[in-house]
Amino acid sequence: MQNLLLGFSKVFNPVTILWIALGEVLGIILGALPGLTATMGIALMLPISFQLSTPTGMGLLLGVYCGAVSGASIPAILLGIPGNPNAIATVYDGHAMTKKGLAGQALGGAVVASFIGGICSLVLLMLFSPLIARVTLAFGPAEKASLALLGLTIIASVSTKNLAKGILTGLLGLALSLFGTDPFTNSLRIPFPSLLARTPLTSGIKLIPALIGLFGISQALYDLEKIKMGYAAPPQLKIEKIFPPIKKIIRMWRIIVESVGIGSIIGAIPGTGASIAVFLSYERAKRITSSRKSKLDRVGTGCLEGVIAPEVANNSVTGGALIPALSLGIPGDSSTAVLLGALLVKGVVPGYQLFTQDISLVYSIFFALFLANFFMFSFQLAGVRIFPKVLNIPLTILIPVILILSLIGSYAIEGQAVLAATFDMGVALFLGILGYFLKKADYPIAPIVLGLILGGMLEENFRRAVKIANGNYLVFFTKPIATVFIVLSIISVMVSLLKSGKEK
Amino acid sequence: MSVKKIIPLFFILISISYIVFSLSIEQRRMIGDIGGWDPGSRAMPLGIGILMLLTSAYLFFKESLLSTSKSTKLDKSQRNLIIFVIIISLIYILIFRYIGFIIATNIYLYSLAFFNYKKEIKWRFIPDYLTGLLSITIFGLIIYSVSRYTIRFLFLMGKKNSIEVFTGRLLPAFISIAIAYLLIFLVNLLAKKLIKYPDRKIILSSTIFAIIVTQTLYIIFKQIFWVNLVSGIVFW
Repeated sequence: MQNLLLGFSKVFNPVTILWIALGEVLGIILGALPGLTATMGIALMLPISFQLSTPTGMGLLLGVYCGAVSGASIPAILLGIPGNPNAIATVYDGHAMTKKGLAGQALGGAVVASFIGGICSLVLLMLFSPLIARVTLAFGPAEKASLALLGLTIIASVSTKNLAKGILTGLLGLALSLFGTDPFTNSLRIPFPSLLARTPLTSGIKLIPALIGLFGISQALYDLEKIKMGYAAPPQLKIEKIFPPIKKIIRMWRIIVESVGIGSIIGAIPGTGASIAVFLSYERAKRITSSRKSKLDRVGTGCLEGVIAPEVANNSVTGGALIPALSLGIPGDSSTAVLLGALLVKGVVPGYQLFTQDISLVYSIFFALFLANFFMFSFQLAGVRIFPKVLNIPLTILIPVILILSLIGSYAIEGQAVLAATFDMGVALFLGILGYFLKKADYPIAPIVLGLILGGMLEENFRRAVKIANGNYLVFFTKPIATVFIVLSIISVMVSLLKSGKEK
Repeated sequence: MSVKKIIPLFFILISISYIVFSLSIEQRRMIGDIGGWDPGSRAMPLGIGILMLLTSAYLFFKESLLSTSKSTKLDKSQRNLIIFVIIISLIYILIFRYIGFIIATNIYLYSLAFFNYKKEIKWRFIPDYLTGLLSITIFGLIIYSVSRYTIRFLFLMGKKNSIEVFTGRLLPAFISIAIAYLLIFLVNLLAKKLIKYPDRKIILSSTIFAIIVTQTLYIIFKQIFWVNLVSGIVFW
């Protein structure tokens, strides 16, 4: 009870509330701008969160996360262009409703659905993350190493149609994570040590500049290609009757329950992300409404049901994706990978220890997520006529803002050591350029991030496990949990191979 | 050669370099490992390097020899703009420590905004660009100085009269940024009336944009979060 109150006080104070509200507004704006992802928004806010206390910083990032996921529905409904992949399925019925003159109800419905999804997934997060975290008590080095391997293989197989590309970028992330010093002997592990021994490379590639480069700079370069076209201007619409009829929402209970389930489960599977969840929930809603008994409008004809299903699902992903991140240290999607990075940089190690030794912080994260959802609901409803105006921001000034925020953000992490800070800017730029070319060649970025996060965990536990087993490399197959993880890794790879084989 | 074919080649080179680097790592085992069972500091990098080489070789074979898909090519102006942004970002990082945050960031943002407004890079834009460069440097320094002296003045006043809020971080930051915005707004208003040519308006818009963003970042990171944004040649 004392920890619960402590967690409450860490969030419900003027400073944290203000930062969460600010994050929410920023998130909605970012989400509303087509092409700018929630991950990029969180990555850009990392340096600011770094300067704040852990609960306040996490509150800011969660605000951006919820805001961006929900804000993506604005261009999806008004323009027929999803703000980011979270709103891909909202386009179909949402934009059709706009064409029918029901834009207000579609936008309002999306906000209500986002709130329901966000709150339900928060409840699931509160219920399941402590239970899963308790399981980690049984994990030794062999289990931890195979868990890291499982996280990597799942994200490599799900994040792209081409498994080899996913594996290659995952390996690149691992390779980058090993620069610096050996975790056990402290001996240098950098190229040309006689030349570079006194450079910041000895501390390795830092996570935050890497994240900012991969998600911020690469996105800015990618958007430069669209600078001639810009965004389509939002239509001049009268946005009326924002709040959807409650009776209708209640009639949609089955769609809502199923979408919450789909979103939370898909979100909790590493690497899957919202785009899969929204399509699955949309398809389920289609099936439910196809029966006359349901007394609902048929999804696909431009109705509220087709907006509610994907919007409940994509916001359910937010809580779902945090379950493995907080309990196992394996992020559910690229956005939670960045959130996890923010925790790790602050010295917070996810898992059972977090739930026992720093439970007030866990509670504060739950409260912050609740507040982020509450602000998302209130701000989006209050600003339903204002936020669409964000689409008038030209890329011409948006791109320089993203670039400078990325560079100065990377610098600010080592803000007092100028040389190391400048080096971090270089890392962000290099990885940003690399990320841009990888995106152009259809290589996924998320496995690089996961490789960077899990590299240390994988190496340390792999070496420790082999050493404890007196040099026996087959130790991973002698432990049941580790064996299960390895088998699951193999299955994820096989499923991906079979799927790509079928598509051919 | 398309990006899709270059990337695997790039990865092959990276993998070979990584393997060479792994082999150069001194093979040390963890303390207390009398039996020599720890795989050592070289094992993981070497294993990853080999796996990367195998995967990239497979992708190179697949993308270069078997694939017939062609990636969409950018037009010349888009390509030049991207190259320009990459080069100017690199220059920004290299000169940042020497000329300082204020001048470097103002110039960087002005350059990005100017050519983004133009949507292409052409030699004939250079005279206008250079004119703007001069104005951003001077105007940027004026705004910075006003802002800096406002904070200093408030701090000294706060200390002398024991007004705590003036010696803190937030209020002086807000006051100084408000004064800076007001000045920028007035200059923008005046300049808009004086400038008639559309080309010059681009210079003005880029300058105003760059100064607003630079000054805001300066106040947030330097004044509120106390990040050491280097002064460089701006010694005051």
